[in-house]
Amino acid sequence: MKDLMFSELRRFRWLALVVFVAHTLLLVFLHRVSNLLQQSFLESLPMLLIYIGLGIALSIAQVGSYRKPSQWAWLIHRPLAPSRIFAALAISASLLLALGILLPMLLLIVSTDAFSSRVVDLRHYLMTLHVLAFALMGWMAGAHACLSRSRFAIAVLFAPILLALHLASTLVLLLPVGLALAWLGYITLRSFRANREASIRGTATLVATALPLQIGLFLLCVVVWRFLFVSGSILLGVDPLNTDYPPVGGLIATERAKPSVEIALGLEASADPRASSWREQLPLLEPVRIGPYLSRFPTRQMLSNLQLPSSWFDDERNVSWTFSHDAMLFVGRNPQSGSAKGRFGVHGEGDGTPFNDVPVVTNNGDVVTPGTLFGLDRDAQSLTQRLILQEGERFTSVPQREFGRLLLLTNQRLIALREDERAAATIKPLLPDWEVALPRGPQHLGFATMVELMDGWLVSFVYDNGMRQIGFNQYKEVVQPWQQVLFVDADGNVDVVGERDINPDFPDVHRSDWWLSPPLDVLATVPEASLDKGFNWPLPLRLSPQVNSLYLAAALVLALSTAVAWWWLRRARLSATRRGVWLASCALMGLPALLSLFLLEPRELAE
Amino acid sequence: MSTPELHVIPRPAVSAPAEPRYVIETEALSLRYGKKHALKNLTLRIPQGRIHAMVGANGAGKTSLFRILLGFQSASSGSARILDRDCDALTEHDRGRIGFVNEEHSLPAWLRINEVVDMQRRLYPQWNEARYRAIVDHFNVTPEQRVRELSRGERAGVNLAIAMAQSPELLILDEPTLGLDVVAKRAFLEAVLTSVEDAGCTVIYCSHQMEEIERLADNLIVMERGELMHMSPPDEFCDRVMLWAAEFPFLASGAEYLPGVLQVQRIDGLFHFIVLDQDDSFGKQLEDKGARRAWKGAVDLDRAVNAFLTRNHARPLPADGAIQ
Repeated sequence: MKDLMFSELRRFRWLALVVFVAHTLLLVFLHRVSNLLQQSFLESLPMLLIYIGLGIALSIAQVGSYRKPSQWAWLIHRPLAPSRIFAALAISASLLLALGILLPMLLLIVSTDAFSSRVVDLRHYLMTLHVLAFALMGWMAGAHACLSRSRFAIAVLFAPILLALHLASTLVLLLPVGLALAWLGYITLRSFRANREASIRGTATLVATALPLQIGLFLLCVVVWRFLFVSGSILLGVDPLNTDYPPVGGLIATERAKPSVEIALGLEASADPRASSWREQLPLLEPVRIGPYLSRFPTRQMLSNLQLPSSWFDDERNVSWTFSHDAMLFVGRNPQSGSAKGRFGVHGEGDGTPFNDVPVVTNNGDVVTPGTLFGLDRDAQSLTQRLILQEGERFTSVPQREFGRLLLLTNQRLIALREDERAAATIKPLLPDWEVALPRGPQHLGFATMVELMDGWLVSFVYDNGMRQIGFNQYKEVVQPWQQVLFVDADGNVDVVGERDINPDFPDVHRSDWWLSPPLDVLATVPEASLDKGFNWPLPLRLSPQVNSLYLAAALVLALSTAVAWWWLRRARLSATRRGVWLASCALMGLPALLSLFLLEPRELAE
Repeated sequence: MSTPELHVIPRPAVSAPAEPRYVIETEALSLRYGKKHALKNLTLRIPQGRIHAMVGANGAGKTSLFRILLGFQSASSGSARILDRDCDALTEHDRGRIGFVNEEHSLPAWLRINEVVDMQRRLYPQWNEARYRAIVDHFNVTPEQRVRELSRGERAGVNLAIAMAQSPELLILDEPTLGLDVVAKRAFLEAVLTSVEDAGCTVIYCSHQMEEIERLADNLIVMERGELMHMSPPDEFCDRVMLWAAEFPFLASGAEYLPGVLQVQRIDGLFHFIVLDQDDSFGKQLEDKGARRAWKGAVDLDRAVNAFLTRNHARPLPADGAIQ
């Protein structure tokens, strides 16, 4: 095994060295242009995809070269167990990827840590391990695809990535990343067998191999279905997003309406005698919108930064303050000289008291953690605590300054605060003005619109149709879009003055992917729902949609998949157990299971 | 082109074991690719020891058979055992007992010869350095040369030397001498014979080179379209195939349709009939068809096998013409 491993190392050593040099130069170049260690996830993602691509490319060059029957015979036909042959190849690939990918990153981080005053945290060191693990996952999936009957077997990569690629703490991620790597390792190990075309032996191995493939195929089905649905709708001229005017009474029309028109729509069916007067006033007023656009806060030791500012630049003193996840406070640096400029804790410059949570810094001088609002006095370089939310409550938007008030949206309420103008401090204390509880909680809240009247406020909450995108993840759920308009009087008393159901614009089967494979839809949500990713409201585990049309669609797909599987298997040379496993799998998982059957099971007809 | 002088190679005296033990046993083995049969109900028992030559045209099923025997492919039906082990369940220990060389002579191109040899030497405890040297010394290669720098013949030589030095119990050679020159081929054949003699190795030798088979093989296996057509010592096969030369005044009208005719050629005005399993009465039949005179002679293995494999398949063989 050692010989084979060294043989593979010899084979790719020059290539790995070239990648090492090129990667190191590229990282140094990019680090000169911007601080690579504080990049957002969106900026880092292309690099991660390149690293995964390198893993796949190495597997194609290495394992793919053994695909030819004569080469495969040379590799496998020797007095060495296939598991040890796999181990030799996998270890050599790990070392090569470590040289080409891990080492340049480590060199950059260690040199930055040792020779500069830039912030380097534990998460940056751990991130290099995660990146190597993802590149190795690419190698494993590529190797598995090279040795499988179908190239589509590369789809097994989706499930471990779904399990492991999350913007969560690098420490917490060690477990899912380790599990994902072990899972892919097992699948790839099992594909190192003399007879590559044979049916997978053992039900446990079959399930372990088929499940990630089915998850990957489920995601593929979702993409294909969406593409077909949207392009079909556009062709027929009924796609609500691609018509001259969105459907009247629908969610898109509501979202695109001017804020004043939107509130008026909510008051259309209002029985309140003041409603007609408000509708007449509205075109003359200037309502504003506030939305739960701050869906999440950074978590400590997060894999990569969110697209939220976690640093600020004090141009007067020429100090750049960057948040350190190790120290949980801001660390100062003069970008011109590169010299360290001390620390900035909860009480301001020079203070070493750490924050409880990773804060977000806004352009208006607000420093916000999930439960606390601080005011930043740039002149005095001090931080003042302005508002602490109650237990379990989190900000879902950054403070918005409108109507002479500070408007704040949390996962429980909409709050309007006034600054105490009598106070002499730069950061003035906040006084409560009024607040409104979110009528249907934070889930699916699209936005809130408010306008100041002579005698109070009109506040409109619009809840969306359940099609929601957070980062790269879509959380689709079939919910009824809904609007509620409230009147808040001068004393802060709240009356419901209008409500309406909004047309969702899209049919149920487009607003949910559940029906394509109910168990896989749930399974794909589990890592999202179980990891702490800093979300401001809990993500639901979509067990059941409670929508009749989706049950019907799911039943049809499952029945059809099972019927096609039965037809496919009826003359195949398979044991009754294996046949039963496949039929049960198709009856439970639906279309992705059927597709995985086509890819994994050779259809050898019985004599 | 003259054939190499191989007749000087001494044939070892191989004594058959008291109770025949089969290194390869297949029972009604079939392999289908869609509707096409690569192997069709193949029942084959190859005894231990000796050199068994396997011949057949392209597509006869030889490579498919080897792939099944080495566990690289599953059969559609039937069973196959190699060294008393189910072919689907070969362990690394079993693989250490079976040598396999294919015509492509796959070796890691990026390694030096000595690195490949070191690697194999550590893998195979029964490595026979003398045997390796005996073969590889016939090639103009140095241990420091990289495999990618070798010519096809040199690579074949190194690969064969390595395969022989591993001292396997069973050695499967699939077109091993393709690309070798006469001297290298001779060295290799000597090594094959020696390994059978020294270590009792069983060799399955697949080749289209009949002169090699004629000199090496103790047993001839003829395969055609996935079926076993003949299995016996080569001499017995030659005994079944005869050449009849006949002189016809005009054309040999209808004579090619006589039973047992494998091939008809017109050479220097004479018609040459190569026939299978025909006695002297065949001459009478030729005369009945208008031959002035007809006389018989022997054919060599090359011509016999060639005539057998290239016969007109539209006409059936005599009832007893096929499998033993």
